Amino acid sequence: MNWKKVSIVYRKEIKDTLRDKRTVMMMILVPILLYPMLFMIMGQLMTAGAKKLEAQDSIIAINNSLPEVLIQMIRAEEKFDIQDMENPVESLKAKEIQGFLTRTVDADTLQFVVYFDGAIDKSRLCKERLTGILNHYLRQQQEKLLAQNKVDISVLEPFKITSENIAPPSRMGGMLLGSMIPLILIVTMVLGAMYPAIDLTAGEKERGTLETILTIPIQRLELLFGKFLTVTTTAFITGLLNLASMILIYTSGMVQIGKISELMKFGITPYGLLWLILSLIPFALFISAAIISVCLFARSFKEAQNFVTPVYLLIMFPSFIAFMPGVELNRTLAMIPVVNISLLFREIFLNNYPLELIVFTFISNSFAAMLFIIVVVKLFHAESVLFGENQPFRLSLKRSQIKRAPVFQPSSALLIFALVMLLLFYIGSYAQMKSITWGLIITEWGLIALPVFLFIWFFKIDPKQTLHMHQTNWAAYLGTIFTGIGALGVMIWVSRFQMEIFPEYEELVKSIEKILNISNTHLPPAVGLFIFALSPAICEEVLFRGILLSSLRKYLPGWMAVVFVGFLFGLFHVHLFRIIPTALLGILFTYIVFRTGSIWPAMLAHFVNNTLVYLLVNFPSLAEKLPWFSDESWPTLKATLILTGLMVIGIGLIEISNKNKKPRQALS
Amino acid sequence: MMIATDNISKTFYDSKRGEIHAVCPTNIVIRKSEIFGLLGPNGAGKTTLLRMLSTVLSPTTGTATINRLDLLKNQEQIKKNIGFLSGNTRLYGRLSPRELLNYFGALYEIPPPQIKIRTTKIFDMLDMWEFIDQRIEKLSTGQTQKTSIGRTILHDPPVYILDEPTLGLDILTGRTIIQFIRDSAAQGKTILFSTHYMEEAEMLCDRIGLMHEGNILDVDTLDNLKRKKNASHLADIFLAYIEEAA
Repeated sequence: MNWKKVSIVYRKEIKDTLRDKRTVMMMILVPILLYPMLFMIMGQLMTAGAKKLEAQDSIIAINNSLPEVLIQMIRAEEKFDIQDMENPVESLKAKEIQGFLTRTVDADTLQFVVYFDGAIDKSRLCKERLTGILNHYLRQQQEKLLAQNKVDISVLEPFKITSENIAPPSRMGGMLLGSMIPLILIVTMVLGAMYPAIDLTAGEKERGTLETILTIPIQRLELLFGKFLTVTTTAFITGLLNLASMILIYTSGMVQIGKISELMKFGITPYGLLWLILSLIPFALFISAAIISVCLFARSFKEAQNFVTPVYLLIMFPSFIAFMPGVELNRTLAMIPVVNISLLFREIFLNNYPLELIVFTFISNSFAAMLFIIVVVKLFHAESVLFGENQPFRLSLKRSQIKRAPVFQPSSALLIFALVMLLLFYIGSYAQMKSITWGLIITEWGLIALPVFLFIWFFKIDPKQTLHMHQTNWAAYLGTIFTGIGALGVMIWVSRFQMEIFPEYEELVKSIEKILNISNTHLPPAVGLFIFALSPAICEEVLFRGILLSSLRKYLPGWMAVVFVGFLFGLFHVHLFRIIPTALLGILFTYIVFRTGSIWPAMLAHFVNNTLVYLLVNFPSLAEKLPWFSDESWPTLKATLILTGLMVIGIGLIEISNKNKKPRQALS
Repeated sequence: MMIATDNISKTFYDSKRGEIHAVCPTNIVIRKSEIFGLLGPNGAGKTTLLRMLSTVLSPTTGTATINRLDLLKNQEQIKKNIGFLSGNTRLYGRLSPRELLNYFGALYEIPPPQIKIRTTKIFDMLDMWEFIDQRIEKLSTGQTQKTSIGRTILHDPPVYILDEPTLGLDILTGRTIIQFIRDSAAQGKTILFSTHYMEEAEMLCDRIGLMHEGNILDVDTLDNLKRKKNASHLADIFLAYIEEAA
């Protein structure tokens, strides 16, 4: 890569971007004008609102059988406006009054009851005022009774309780700001990166300058890198300006949101500020790479905006973690992009600088950014991406107008996947809650296989092609069986590994077994195998290794299609701790179809794998004979060797079965 | 021999129509200092062929040599040897013509003093001085087209590949292009251009390649083509070839 050319592109793109009004608005005007105004108005409104509320009288009703003294006390209080109501509780519901005080006598104990509506500010205030009076009355009664019995009042208070907050106001401010500022920073930085990213990729396609630049002697990597650095710069500047603006707002005392500014002072040290600014860089790298990589697929500005929205949500969601109580930056979390940044910001606001974790955070974000760039460069060479020859998804509801096609368009296949996921969320989980056995049967056949076949029929897709229903040879099947058994070892290793990293979630991991463990439902093994092994092997394969692989294969380089389908398979198992092991398993199954060109071996492998898991979980006697599969401890060396050996032999056989064909032709 | 294609072809995949052979294996030879016109209706494959020769698209099979450089092996060098202009090679609207030429000059690795000399010459030649510091998005079609030509010839390549250079232009701007093609040929440039205007081809070309549905039907001088089909108008000649092919 010629860095001089990258720098030429960078300087030009910065100039170009700064001349774009939308970018400048997002980058500069929003932080330095919109924020202070927004905060100021919000603060004023909140303060004014609180004062107004405080000044208002509470309209209440009281039960006339209350003690006369209490009634006198309430009447003496100016803030109460007592109304007579026939049915005070109903009046409260109708919002005619804000509180109702009554009494009950229950087993000789006198009890006062304050009715209020917790959803209404005025009513909550009314409740506080009433309980204040009641406490006052209680104290009076206590004093009176004690005096009658000639007991000193001090018996009521043998000791006092106080607490002392040792956190200086700056740290209290850090807690709050440390949770809020990361979120605001992350959101604004993404917004700041979004327009230039779209403009420099899809915008360039839309305006037709891409073809011009392709005739110039510059490598696509150099071009992309120049653009990537430009977007990173705008994201960084946006973050910096926002940070500066927010710090100014808080320190200047311009904004007084209720009592917050009294309680907390903003106390970040210059050293902390430096760290904060530095940590904006890896985050800017990460979001720029992520956003650019989706934008490259879009053909127009508008389409790119649609593509960016889910990425925006995906980035924003983990940043909420800084709001979660008890979550602190540790080594594991420091590995996860976005999450680590939002937690690191909070640490810095609390005046903690965990150097090791900061380094982890930097590395993980930069690494993820690089990964995106590498993948994107691969794709950026694909002409279908550059010239957008891929057809957009058009839903034509007249079947007669639909033309036959060998496989689905990638966008259509992904939409079907999304639809199946929705069905699983809304119908599948409900059905499984009602009855695990029937629920699973309905899920597999009704919610996965049925939609897939319906779509194949409706869109006149060639089932043989899209489902890879091709013949293959015995070596492939044999290899598949070995691989299927060996794969179990890999899954156990990965699960074990996860448990070592997240020991606190062991219970969660174990809960998976409960799903599989249906021995108490007394199902005959044949039925159990049908539900847990055969059905998924057919239905899930048809979706993943069938329509998803065959369509994505047309669009992505082979290995990427394999990894991507595997990853979707992991996601499909909607369980945080199953994503990685099942994704690996998915990659393996996808690889089998990719190499043999046939879906049958993958179905067999899936069946073998699920059968083994089912048997091990439901027949403890079998599991005892095969202690290797226990996930209580690491698999033994012997077990690892045997299982790895099986897998190597299996993969070898699959490769041999494919010997006469060139790898890329196996699928076509 | 400046350009020679060697069974170059391009196949697209389309969900509706399946495989499309945009350019069937093609062999054409274009001599130095020649004006070669590629003539054909819309969808004949002209643009795809020119895009492959300008390295924007990579061929499905075959290759080509330009100025003795192999298309597949010396992409970077080939890009320096050609100037490619088409309706799709638009310019950065937020830059001025001067900034644009400086940018591309830097990417062609022309030393800055050299760029200065070269752009001055281009601004003189194309009479661009009055608008070189305005943003391109504010320029008229004619001024933009002049800037595009400036961009195409900036690095002084021996070969110009022009895809429908007059498409959508008014008569005056179109004449600027025609004049430019004639002047360039006089300077010894090799010019490959495509068009679907028959008159343009008649007016300019030394030799004409007739293209239809991805195939080159024939390549010859205008006079020879007229003689072969016994027709005086290029349109008639073209129809005769299409009928013969069908």
